[in-house]
Amino acid sequence: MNSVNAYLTLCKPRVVLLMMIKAMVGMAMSPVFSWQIFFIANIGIACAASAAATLNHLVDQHIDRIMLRTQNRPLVQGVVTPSRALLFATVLGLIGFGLLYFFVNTVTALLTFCSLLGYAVVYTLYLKHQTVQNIVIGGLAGAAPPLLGWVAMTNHIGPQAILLMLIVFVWTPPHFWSLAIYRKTEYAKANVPMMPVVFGDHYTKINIFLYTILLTAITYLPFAIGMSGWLYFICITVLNARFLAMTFRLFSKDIFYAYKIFKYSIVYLFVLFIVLLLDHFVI
Amino acid sequence: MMHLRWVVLIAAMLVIVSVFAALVYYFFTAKSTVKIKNELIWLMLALLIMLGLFVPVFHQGFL
Repeated sequence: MNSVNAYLTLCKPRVVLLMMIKAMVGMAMSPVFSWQIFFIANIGIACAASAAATLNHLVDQHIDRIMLRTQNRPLVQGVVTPSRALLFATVLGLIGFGLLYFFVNTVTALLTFCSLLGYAVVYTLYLKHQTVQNIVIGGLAGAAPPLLGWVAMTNHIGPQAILLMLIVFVWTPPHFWSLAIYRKTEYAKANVPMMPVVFGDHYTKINIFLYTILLTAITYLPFAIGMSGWLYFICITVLNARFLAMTFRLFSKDIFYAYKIFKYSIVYLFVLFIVLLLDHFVI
Repeated sequence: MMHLRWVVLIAAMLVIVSVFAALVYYFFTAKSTVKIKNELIWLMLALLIMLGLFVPVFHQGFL
């Protein structure tokens, strides 16, 4: 791995891209829109998210060494030193904050900074090792981008933006707990108290199913509060029916089916946002 | 259309309250390897965060 690739890996580009897509949805759904803000805010949010990802690599080095999935990370392999990674994260964080503060608005800059701290410090350093609710509470930082996108455009926190955030927040547990069932042995080896490790698979499956019901109820709220129309209503019914059926079937299935749910949950969120946008702009 | 939006809003509210109750109920039926009291506090915090996010959304819906 060369150093450019190593620094790119530190940024977790796929996660950052997903964050940017979520922020773009928040921007596009807001009542006002400016292309200038769109570009600057996305760069700022991407820089802050990359800084948070780098800090996550830095803090989780000892776990990454143990888990098979993360053994090739640049800090574990020694391609990048911890001090360089810290410098890299600081520079990215400052650029992100500066762009948002000087060219977007103060509220977006502060909220983005709080999300960065929430993920890199509160979640990675503390929550992750403290409780099985780690990904639920820590998920707040990951759910923030639609809110950040909305606030970047409007300069205020609206209930519609909070609803978009809420959808991602409630989507996070079934998404991560499915993966946790699949990778239970690795999490146990790394001493991370994920729900299947602490409470077992059956209790986790109950929670996945209950959160999917909760997600189903919440995803109808954009229709209920007049944010979206019939196209969204019909599409979300189909998406939810499949998600509910899969999580119900999980009770009698093995860990490979849990991984299938993990993959479906990504498609689910992606399609949900696309339909939300289509309904907003086309209909 | 307006009536359906109200029905969806109220139905969603009832489902959310039921799921919250179910999460707490199943928590007490679980067998764990850690201190159950600490985990209960974390669960309550998670539900409280969600509740905090629901309030402005439902407020908007009922306006």
